[in-house]
Amino acid sequence: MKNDQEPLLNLILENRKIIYKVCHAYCRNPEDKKDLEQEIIVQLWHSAYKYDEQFGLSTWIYRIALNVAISFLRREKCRKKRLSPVDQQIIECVADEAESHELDGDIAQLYRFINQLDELNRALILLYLDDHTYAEIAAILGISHSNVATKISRIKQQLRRDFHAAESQS
Amino acid sequence: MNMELQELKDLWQQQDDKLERQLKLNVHLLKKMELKNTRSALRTATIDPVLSLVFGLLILIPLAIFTFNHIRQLQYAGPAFGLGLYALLLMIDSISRLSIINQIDYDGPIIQIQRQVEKLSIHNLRYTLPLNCCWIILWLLATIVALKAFANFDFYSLHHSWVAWNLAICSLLAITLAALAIGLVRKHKRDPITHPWLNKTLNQLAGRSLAKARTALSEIEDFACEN
Repeated sequence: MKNDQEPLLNLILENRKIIYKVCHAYCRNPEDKKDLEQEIIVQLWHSAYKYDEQFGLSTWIYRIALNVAISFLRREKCRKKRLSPVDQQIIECVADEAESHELDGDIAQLYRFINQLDELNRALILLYLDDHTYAEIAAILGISHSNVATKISRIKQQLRRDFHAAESQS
Repeated sequence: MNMELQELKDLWQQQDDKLERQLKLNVHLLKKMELKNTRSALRTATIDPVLSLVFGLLILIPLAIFTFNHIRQLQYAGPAFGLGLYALLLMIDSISRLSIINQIDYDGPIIQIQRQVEKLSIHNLRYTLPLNCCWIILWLLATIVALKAFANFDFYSLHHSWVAWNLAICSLLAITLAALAIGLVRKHKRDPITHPWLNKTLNQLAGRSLAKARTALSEIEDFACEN
């Protein structure tokens, strides 16, 4: 991959949906989403010369985007713990408001459930929903194929329970 | 909402198509981004260990020469040796940090990379922080050596008891700071101090940040385990 700005930007543009979905799954606050998007693009830019063509481009982008997002989320968690509970409530309200304008009901609900999972399980379900095979998910995460199957089955059960709970509440 | 899992996948795919249309609007914004000028936390991680390594190198050689020249005057050779040892440890610490950072390639498998990130923060808290805290005592040794080396002034001529008092006060200060940090962190466990720098420093001094980093690492290991 050439280390020029234009080809890289074109590749990012072709795969911008991945960046969008990762940002959406890991951040609720619109400002955080913008920051994370920027960090992912910067990291893609830095890692571009190392791209190994034996991996699919979307797999490579997913790996970088998820790694950056998980690190970003951990850093933000520490920062947000320092905010007062009132500040946190305001941020949550703004995030909910922005999310409800941006997404349809069902998909917003799905993102809310995904947001409740921990960082690593969130990566797993994103890859699963995006139709990656268990082998691809195992390679992106660096865990075994059987481990992926077990964890996906657990997350599915949890999501099913969450959807049923939401349904009975409404 | 009555939704089965296959429907969730379908819903996800529908969103994909919708995104294709929506995101086209933001293309020009992405193209406007000046990537080269973007500040990134990921790039700044190497600055501190590189600076520490250079600092260690710069002071180690003059200290070794000073120690050799004053080998028979233990009152000078001792502090210079202490400072030299600090410089050596600082360099070893910097090289280990750089080696961990070097392994953090964000295009690697997620578990491996996140493990490295947590290892780096544990390393920082377990070795780098205590090494930096050594300056509570080291400043006195540095003063003794610097006055002798640059002004040929005998620090001990001031008064022996003055030096002893300073060492005692420094040690007491270190213990008081650690006790204060633990006390404040416990007191504000549920309602953290709002000042970010103060809160971070207190958590580091009280070992809370180290405990958190260890928990995060064990979560990653658990995730990677077959179960």
